[in-house]
Amino acid sequence: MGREIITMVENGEVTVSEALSLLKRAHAGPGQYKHELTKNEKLAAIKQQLDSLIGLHTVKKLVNEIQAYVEIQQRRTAFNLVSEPVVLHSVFIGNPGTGKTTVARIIGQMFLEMGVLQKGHLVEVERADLVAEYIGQTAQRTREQLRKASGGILFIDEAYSLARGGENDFGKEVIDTIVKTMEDQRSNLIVILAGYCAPMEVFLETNPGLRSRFPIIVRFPDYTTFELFRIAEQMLQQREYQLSKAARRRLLSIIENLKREEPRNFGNARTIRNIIEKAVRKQAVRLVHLKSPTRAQLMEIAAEDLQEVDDD
Amino acid sequence: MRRIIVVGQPNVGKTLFSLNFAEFLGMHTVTINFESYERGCSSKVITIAEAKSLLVSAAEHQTLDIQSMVLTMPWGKSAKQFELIDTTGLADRIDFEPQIRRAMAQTLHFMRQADVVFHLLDCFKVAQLGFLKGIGEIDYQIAQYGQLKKGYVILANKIDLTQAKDGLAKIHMEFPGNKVIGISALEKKGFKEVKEIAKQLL
Repeated sequence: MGREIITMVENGEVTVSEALSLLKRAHAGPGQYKHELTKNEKLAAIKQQLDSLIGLHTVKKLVNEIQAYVEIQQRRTAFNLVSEPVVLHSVFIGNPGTGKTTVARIIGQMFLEMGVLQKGHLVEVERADLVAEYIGQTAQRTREQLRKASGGILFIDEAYSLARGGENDFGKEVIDTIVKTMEDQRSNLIVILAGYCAPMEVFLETNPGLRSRFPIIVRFPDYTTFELFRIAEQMLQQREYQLSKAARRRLLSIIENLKREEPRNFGNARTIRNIIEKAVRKQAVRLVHLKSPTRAQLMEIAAEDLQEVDDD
Repeated sequence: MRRIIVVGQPNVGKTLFSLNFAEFLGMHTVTINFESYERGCSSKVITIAEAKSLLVSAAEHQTLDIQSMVLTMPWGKSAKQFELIDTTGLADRIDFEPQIRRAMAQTLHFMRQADVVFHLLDCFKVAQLGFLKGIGEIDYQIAQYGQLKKGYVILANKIDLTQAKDGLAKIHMEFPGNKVIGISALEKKGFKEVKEIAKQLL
């Protein structure tokens, strides 16, 4: 390509200027052209991910608010206006399987694109990752995790477990270490405390200092029956399966039963995923004896494939 | 070996700059490789003074061969070698002389292979004639192409002449974001800075 352009100059077909601009284009090469997403396009893509989550209306609204707030504070700084320091440490309260981790992951990506965080990754830890066996090791171990999470989000699952175990428990040390690092590393680390509703409320009340340091509280409500049903449908769609009519009715009644019988221990979306995974396996067993199943058969989940998860 | 190519319009002082820069780096004799379309490659060892009288003139298109020389630059305690390539001036019009067209084509060919581009502009001409005539479309295109290279530096030549200051300021404004160094190829002004930047880029 480049050689041809140079030959054209030699033959007097193009001026040197034209040749240079042609050479520049040839250098970029047609195959190497790649559409680079702008910051806004990336943000829109991340928001789309958040919006595609089923339910969680209050959470989505809150995330939008936080995003707008951060953006405006950044713009104000650009105009030399007084801008409040953005403190984004938060508490996620919700029963298991209500999307806490998923939302945390999306928020990390969002803040990465907005330039609040440098890496935007999520480090998920629980009590066992932070608390050590002997005196003096806990702070070390906690600092190690904080270092790993630097530039991203430290997501502490079942955070209330840090306060259990009485006076001499090392959990207190973890909280102290984290709070100290949060103050030092103000801008480049976000800590999220997550946990189930009831114990989390108690945890926050017994540690009054935490409230002010974790100003954002996000409550993840339990999914309604219909939302859970739509989650199931979405999961199946991603795996390219379909529910038959009878199966739809059966699934709805299974969800209703679960919600009625054990509202406490019900795992929300996680339970739904287990039901779906089990159904997919059952369908496979049902079809494996058929000589030549059709495409429709391979896609369909029948009522008999669906079972409440624990009944075996 | 890294390659620095010196480009610009005819008669901005590319050859004089190349030779004086070699002298500035402490060379007394240079081995010049001539790469000509008609005669192929030939190599000559001559003193720099001799080279100047032989190669530099006030007329346009004096240089019709690509002349490259290997220069040595002090590099910490040791030295580093690089190739400095002096080229035929690039003009906007399509020349009716096939020889000149060929020489320009060859310049482009070497430009593609170079790591660093030194783009010479004529301050004096800019100051006198303004942008449209002092700098042609060709210079903008070279600047655009230069961005693809590892290094691209604009050397605003002929600052020894009166009025040239004006031109240097204009060049600064016209090519924002690029490194612009005011030099005098004749009086070896600004060479120290050129050397520093060459060190960074090589």
